[in-house]
Amino acid sequence: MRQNRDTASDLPNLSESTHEASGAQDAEWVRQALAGDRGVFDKLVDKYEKPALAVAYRLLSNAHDAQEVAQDAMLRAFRGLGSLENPRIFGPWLMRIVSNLALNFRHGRARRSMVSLDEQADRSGGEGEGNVLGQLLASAQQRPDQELMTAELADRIRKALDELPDRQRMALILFSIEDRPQKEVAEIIGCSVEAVKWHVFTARKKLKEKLADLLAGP
Amino acid sequence: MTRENTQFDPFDPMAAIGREEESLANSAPSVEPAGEPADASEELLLRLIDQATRPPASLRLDRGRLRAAIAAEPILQASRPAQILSPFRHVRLSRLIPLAAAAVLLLVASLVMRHQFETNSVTPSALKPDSGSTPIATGQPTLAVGLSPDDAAQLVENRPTDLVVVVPRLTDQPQPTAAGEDQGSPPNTPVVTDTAPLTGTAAGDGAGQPGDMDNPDAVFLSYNR
Repeated sequence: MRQNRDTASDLPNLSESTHEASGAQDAEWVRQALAGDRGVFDKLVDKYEKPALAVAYRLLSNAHDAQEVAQDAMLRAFRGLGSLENPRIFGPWLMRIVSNLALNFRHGRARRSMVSLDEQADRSGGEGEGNVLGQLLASAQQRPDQELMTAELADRIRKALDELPDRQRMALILFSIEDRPQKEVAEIIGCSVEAVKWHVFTARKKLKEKLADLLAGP
Repeated sequence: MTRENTQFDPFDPMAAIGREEESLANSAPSVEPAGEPADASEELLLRLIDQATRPPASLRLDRGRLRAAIAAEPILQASRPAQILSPFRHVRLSRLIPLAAAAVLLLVASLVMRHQFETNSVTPSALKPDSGSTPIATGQPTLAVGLSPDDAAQLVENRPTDLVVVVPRLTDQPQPTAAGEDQGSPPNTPVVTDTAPLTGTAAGDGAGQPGDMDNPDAVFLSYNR
């Protein structure tokens, strides 16, 4: 999460050099792939498989859909390598493909689906929910390393996330959860860095309002 | 209000990035917190979101299927420097179309002009009845090249109402003109003969009559060697 990144990024020079080295390595692999070495694309897939799957899953909340989207994004990235203007930004470019495909998939799925997360949440909501959540929260505060989630709680949080506008949800997930740099998030979403800050701020504010009972404690 | 530089198009997953502002290549992860400073409730909120949306550890790509799909793809364009070509690609296409149209127009115009010239030019073979050459058009100015004086005279006689310019055949020996030898002119200097009765424009003005120099359209060119 972002807090960990903030703590870890106290050494900006180290982070910057690592980032640059990663970009240079990506650029070299892209160059080799364009030169006809298809096998080298495997290295790019290895490097970005987990981030791509994570972003896709966090946006789709479905393992099978996330796998399909990430797979499709990798294939599209391979096809589009020649059009990549700056091979050093292969990672952010791939993340943008993943994000956009995931959003497209979400919109298509929303049209197809007859059972929404809304209904699931309505079914799972009950009078005793506050007590359950309070117990979970108290338990989490006592044992912060332990998993907080139950299926019901996860559904409620995902529902709140789903109700956010696309940009706000993506900004929050990419920046606050996936720890992507603000500039990279700005490129992925297609907005300015200031807009990313605004989207994250607004998303957090809305979620805090929607999940106020969770966050207020027992 | 937010300031957004580009339009987000969720239906274009391959939309290019890195076109504006500074390159991501030099961007380090930001240490700047977004929005308000994180408090306990925000930290809890992010932890909840993280756990609610965390992908299962078993989630993996189907690498075999991906490799097969990549293997089935056509060869990448290795020599194509995309960052150089892409900004100019549209410009080149936009220039190509008017250039091609202009080239076609020029070609058509040149063909028409050539046809006109051939139609109105007379060569010695065109005067022969069975030569199969392009018929001589009437009613337009005519350039007759390389005709013998007899042929030129026949042409003018047949076309009394047209402007006919006759350029005699160039041979090793000077061609006699109707005025006889003209030894005083410099070589290859076209001269207007003073006796050649070879052209006439006004109907019935006596075209073909020797010494018709009063007619301004009656011109006969010869080359002295």
